[in-house]
Amino acid sequence: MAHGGALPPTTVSGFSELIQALTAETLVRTGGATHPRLAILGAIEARLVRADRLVLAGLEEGVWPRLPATDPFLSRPMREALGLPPPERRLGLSAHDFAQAACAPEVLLVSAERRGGQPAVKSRWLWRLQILAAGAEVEIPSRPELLDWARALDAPLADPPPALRPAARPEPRPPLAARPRRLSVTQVETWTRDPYAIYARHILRLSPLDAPDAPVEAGPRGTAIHVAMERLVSDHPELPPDAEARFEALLLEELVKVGVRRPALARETAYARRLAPWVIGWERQRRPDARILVEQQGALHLGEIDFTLTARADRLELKDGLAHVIDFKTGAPPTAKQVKAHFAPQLTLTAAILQGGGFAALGPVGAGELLYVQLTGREIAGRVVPALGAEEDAQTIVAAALAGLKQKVAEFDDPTSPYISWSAPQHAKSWGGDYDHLARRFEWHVMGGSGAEGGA
Amino acid sequence: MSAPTAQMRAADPTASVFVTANAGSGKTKTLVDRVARLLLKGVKPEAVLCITYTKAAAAEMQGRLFEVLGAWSVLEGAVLREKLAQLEGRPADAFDDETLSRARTLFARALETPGGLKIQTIHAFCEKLLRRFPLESGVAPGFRVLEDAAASAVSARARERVAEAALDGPEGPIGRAYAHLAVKLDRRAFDGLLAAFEGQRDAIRAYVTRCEAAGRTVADDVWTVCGFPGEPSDPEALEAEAVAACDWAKWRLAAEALIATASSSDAKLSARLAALAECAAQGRGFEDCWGVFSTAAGEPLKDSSLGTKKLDPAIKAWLLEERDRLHRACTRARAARVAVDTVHALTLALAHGELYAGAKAETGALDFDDLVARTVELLTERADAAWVLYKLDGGIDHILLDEAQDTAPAQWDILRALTEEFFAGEGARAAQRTLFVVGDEKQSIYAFQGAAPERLAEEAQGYSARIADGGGVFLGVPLLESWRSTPEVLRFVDEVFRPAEMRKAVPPPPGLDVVAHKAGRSDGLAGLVELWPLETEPDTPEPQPWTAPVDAPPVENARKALAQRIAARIADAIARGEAVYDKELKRLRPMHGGDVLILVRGRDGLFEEIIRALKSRGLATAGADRMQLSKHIAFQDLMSLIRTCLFPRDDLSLAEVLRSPLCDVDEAELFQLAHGRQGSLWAALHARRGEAPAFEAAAAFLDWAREEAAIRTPFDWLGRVLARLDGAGRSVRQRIVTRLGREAEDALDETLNQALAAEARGVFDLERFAAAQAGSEIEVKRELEGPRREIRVMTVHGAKGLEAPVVILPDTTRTRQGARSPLLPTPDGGFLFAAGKADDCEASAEAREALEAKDEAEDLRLLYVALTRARDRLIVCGRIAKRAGTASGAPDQTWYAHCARALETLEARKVDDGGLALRRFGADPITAPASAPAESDAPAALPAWARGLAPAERALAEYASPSDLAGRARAPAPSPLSQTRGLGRFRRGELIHRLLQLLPDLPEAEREAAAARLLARERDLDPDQRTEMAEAALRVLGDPQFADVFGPGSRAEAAVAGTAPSLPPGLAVSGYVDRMAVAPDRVLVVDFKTNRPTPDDIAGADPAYLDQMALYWAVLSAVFPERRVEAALVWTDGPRLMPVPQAVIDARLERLRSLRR
Repeated sequence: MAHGGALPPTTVSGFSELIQALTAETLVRTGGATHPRLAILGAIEARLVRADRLVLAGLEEGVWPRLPATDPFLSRPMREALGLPPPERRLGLSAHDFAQAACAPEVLLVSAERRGGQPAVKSRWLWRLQILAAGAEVEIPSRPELLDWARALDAPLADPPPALRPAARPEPRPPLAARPRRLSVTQVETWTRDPYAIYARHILRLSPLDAPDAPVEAGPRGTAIHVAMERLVSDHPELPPDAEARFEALLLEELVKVGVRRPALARETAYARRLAPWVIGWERQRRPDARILVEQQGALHLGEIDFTLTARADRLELKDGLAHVIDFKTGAPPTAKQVKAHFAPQLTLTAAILQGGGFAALGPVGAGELLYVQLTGREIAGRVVPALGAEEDAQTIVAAALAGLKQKVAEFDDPTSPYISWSAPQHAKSWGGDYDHLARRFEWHVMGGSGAEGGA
Repeated sequence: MSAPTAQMRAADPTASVFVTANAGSGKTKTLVDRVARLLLKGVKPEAVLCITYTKAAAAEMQGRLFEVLGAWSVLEGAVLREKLAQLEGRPADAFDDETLSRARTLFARALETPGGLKIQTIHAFCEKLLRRFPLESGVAPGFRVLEDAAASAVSARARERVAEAALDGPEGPIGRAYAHLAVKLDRRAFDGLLAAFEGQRDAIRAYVTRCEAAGRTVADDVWTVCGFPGEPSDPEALEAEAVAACDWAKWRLAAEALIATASSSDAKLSARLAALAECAAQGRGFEDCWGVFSTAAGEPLKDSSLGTKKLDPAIKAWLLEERDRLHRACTRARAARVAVDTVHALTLALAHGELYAGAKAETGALDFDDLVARTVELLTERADAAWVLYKLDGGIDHILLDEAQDTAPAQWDILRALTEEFFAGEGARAAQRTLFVVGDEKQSIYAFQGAAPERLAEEAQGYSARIADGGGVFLGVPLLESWRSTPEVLRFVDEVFRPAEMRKAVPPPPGLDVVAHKAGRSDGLAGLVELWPLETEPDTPEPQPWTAPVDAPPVENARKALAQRIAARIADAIARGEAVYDKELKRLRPMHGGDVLILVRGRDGLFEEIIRALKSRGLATAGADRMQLSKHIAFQDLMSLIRTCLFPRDDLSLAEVLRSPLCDVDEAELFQLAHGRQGSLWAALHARRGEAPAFEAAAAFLDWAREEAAIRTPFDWLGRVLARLDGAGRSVRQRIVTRLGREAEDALDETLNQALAAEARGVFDLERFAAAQAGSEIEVKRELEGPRREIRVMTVHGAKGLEAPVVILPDTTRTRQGARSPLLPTPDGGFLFAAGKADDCEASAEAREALEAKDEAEDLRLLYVALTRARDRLIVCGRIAKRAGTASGAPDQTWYAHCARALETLEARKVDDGGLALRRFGADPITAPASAPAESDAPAALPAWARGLAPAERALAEYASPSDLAGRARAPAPSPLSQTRGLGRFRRGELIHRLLQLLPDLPEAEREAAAARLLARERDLDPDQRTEMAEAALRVLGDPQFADVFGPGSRAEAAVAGTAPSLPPGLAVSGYVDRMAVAPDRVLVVDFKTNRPTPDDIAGADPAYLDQMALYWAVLSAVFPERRVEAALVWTDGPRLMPVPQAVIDARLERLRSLRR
């Protein structure tokens, strides 16, 4: 370090590597207080100690004996020519250590079959001992029970108490009083697929906490795009001529706000560049003659089942006496088939709230188009995906969704109805839901414990 | 004496041999025999280099060689003679006593080979070579080899830098390429592309170099390959041009003519033509226009689809012409698009390659590819191979190469360089050097790692000529016998690969027409091959969202059905005691789980389903052969525990810990705690810990874990957590394994490995450890072999080199391997970018076809490897989606179809096996003779004492240095800056300290002059300062009370060790005093202290110092009972000498005794 001036310039990480390499060279002897009857020593230290029972561990080639270091300058033949001792001299010393230690009154020789995940080769001295003993027809006593003991120490219990049996698929049946009387349309969507998630969030009141410095995932990115779309409407009631550039800047600003780091921003910049013209083109199409409301809160109390359904609509467009419902997605929106089958009732139930007058700013109003707008910024920068096919009768499906919800609420008003985990795996988006771990899904699904049954 | 067998000929140490070895033909034995015969012939062990494919193979070979040589060393003459005769195929009397005694020495010589036997992987060999020649090869001495985890960290850094570069220069080539491809590919595909760059970096570099050597840029070359020599083109412009050239009047005309035919298909076409002809100009995209004339898949419509017979022939002719024109435009645009994408991709690849190399260089690391590439460079360009080898242990005379079919081109280059002079024909030496290569083209399954199976035959030819020219002997030896499989299995394998189109991928050995295995087994067990009918996908009812099933019934599918059928069949066979032949026992015995190997193509749903089915039948299974650590719940449980310890208010993480085997709180108890609580779950748990034993235990455990987390390193902490015993004496590890199965053990061990590795990188706190783990995707390769008799489920790749009496192939109906990187290597060494078939231009389609043909060939070789794992029997089964089946039951070109055809030819009979109509070739299974005793291998019971905690031991003697024992003295460290600021008080103290250390060793008369000399070296002092300091030091030395301690015969750094009656019982002191003198009547002892400021009197001294002096005093008083012992402290800053009065010493000792009582 004192002569660092002679070194070429380095980088922070290079310097850190250097320090690590230097510190790794230094041997620190901790010594200090030891057990009165048990000592763990290196080979040389052990020479000074007399012990009643000696365990020689690590009898593998490369560990004991340690292989001589590679000399970058002089090879073995060159050393010989120069009259220098061969690198194997140290092996001799090491053999001496071994021979001396192996002569204690009681000796246990231990070698590992695998080291660092790789098969190991027994130490040469073990080989010699074994061959010699075999030749002399002497049996070296082995202690196979020691390995059995070691395995038995942490072995699975043969007959575990109930608490230690593999967890089954959870099916909690909380009392009625604990069950939620108010859910949002997106939560109802979760309910249709994974009721346990509703249980964990709304009954146990457990919510995920973002770890500091966690990489920004889909969630916050989606938030940024939503906010950008909202601000496009609130900041620019009239679209300026350079709306594209403004939206692009707006979006990048929001992405930085939610914590997208610089390297990820390279990709986001490319997306924003493509997304902006598409969004503005779409806006110019949607805006005329429409009253646009962003981020609207709606709630509908269903008296007969005493349940409140809420919704937060990304965007409502009032036009020709109808309210069009628009939801922005950064990922793939649900298919029309899923919407029709009510596994994605977010928009149909939002429509039901609209019709029931649940959006205070609008009063009761008929629902028009139900649209997902997928915003990616990729080759197809944006896409409008109607939630239902053109030939579907939206009215009927909306009514069916509301009726279905009522049925579901009624069903869960039976204290024996359980909140099982993953009730409709076909429609599960993917692994990695917030409550999969709490539900021990891996334990009963992948590991397939006693009689547990999985889904997909 | 019989004629030498093929194995003997292959092991002949006087010839160079290329061996093509069928599966199970005793390849390893041949290798070991050959090495043994080389050594017997007198070759020095260090002159033999044997290159194996894996470290495991190297370890196995070494072990087998030691066994053979070891046996020789202790055999009696006659027996040894017989052994050697068998080995060499010579009469026993050909071996004289001298040979025998030499044979007996080989074991020791091989064990003590200078530098170790060179039986190693190519990477280990390269690493050793580079370490020996860092300067010659231009690598950092002491370089690190990047393991997978570290390599992925370096590559992540490189990716970030590419992104930064793109962000910094969005309009530069990198920025444009980055934006272009990020938009073109989805997130995963884009990341995959960057990863693919790493694997292809050398090839890409080589392509660029080749272009530049030819005097043009890569971009020129790409455009030329795509059909635009000299002139890049804009694909959009090409398309716009084609649209602009549309004659809309003619489109209208055609539309009208089509209507007139009154055919419904014409009417459709008419409508599409008209729609475009009539719409506004900006509404006409090229896709729309071309869409009229092409199918949904983008193929041009057939002539017959463009107008029925009633259509006016002129119009028809125009339609065809228009179709062709647009098709040409489409093809051109596509080719231009491929060119644009390729140029962008290569730009990015080059940037990435540079940044990756830079990131590696910073850490002084080489990855596995570097090891090989640098070695090739060292041996071929930078230095002379012969000299390098000479310098490396005196040269290599014999090389053996194992698994040659999986040797990559660069590795062949190394071999070529190493053998350059072997056969150069320079005198006698050439004949004494040999090359031995063993491989089997049929078993080459590592193309994705760069293996080039076709090189094996090429190299054999090349070497054959060179060796013959050099006067050496070259032999090509096929090993056709299989010692592994039953004749029935072998006949089936031969039949599967008999058709000509199969032989292209799975070639017979040179000189033979068909793949043929000779059955070498002689135990007489008749084997069998079974083909089960395919499971078909059943109808599944759609689930209902609103009426949730109370206990969601499992979804039935073909995968699950197949898995359950396999599990049932195995359970049945074990229950019935079906016979397998035991190689070790050399007899039949009843089958157990360890005899079964289930081979799949990938670790997908079927793989998981099979493991699940086996487990739920209670069959012991070894679990998955690889696991994704971050997805394993045992790992997640530990991570939740870390998060809980770091952030106790993270309610969800705490709940996860409670439900995990760490706490075993059940669902109902969790509800009791969590529901309706005020505040955090942590607070609730602690407030209500008395309500349930599980709560009390959990709270105690978490409190302990949290306290420990604050002071332990990750590895230490995790180790303690896993070893902690609960109230019933069960360790946490044991509870986890009990609940989650043995597989969890590997997850736990790997988590510990990760912690240890993190600590080696300097991560010593849990927070950073958890953060580093959060984003990592570590795959753990598990060792499934072992004595546990568990059924193994693994991929064919993972089963390379393994065998089992019963092999089941359930994954036989796939048609294609997974997705490939869009950057396609072309047959002539270039690259083209096309994401899929639909994007292909002519050149890229050609490249794709070549790659697909290679994949198909490798797929068939994979089948060969899978089939030949079986010893006694083979079961082929599969599943199929409803529509995909063809007449034969499975799509053509699937494994299942190949197997079905072979069994058809072999006239396998139909058997009804408990309702399953299967085909069977060979004998029906038999049960093992009842006389076969069941081996008892019950593990030894754990003695009771092992479960308890060891009782604390009373220390017999405790050695302590007085400074430790008395607590750490509080001496403030001087600021390193103080020296530079003139003569601070610190500086003065230090100089005096030095004087006090050095001067006493000089005769009194010389001290003053020495002090002056010493101080004169301190240039910045003025004379007054020097004088003052020298006087101060000499004053201390001359203090009459302690003059003796600095006088003649006094010692510096004197060791003081021992016990004393006045010390606390059991305490022994061991330490050093700065200065000591033993006079006839008294003993003086002094310690220097650097405290600042110097205390005024002894009462102001740090009590720790006083304790220290008291301990020395006690020990010395015991050693010198007849003399008076006096102690003093010297404060160097004063300087000042301060004796420690006897009363103070007595008081300190009294206090120490009372403390330790």
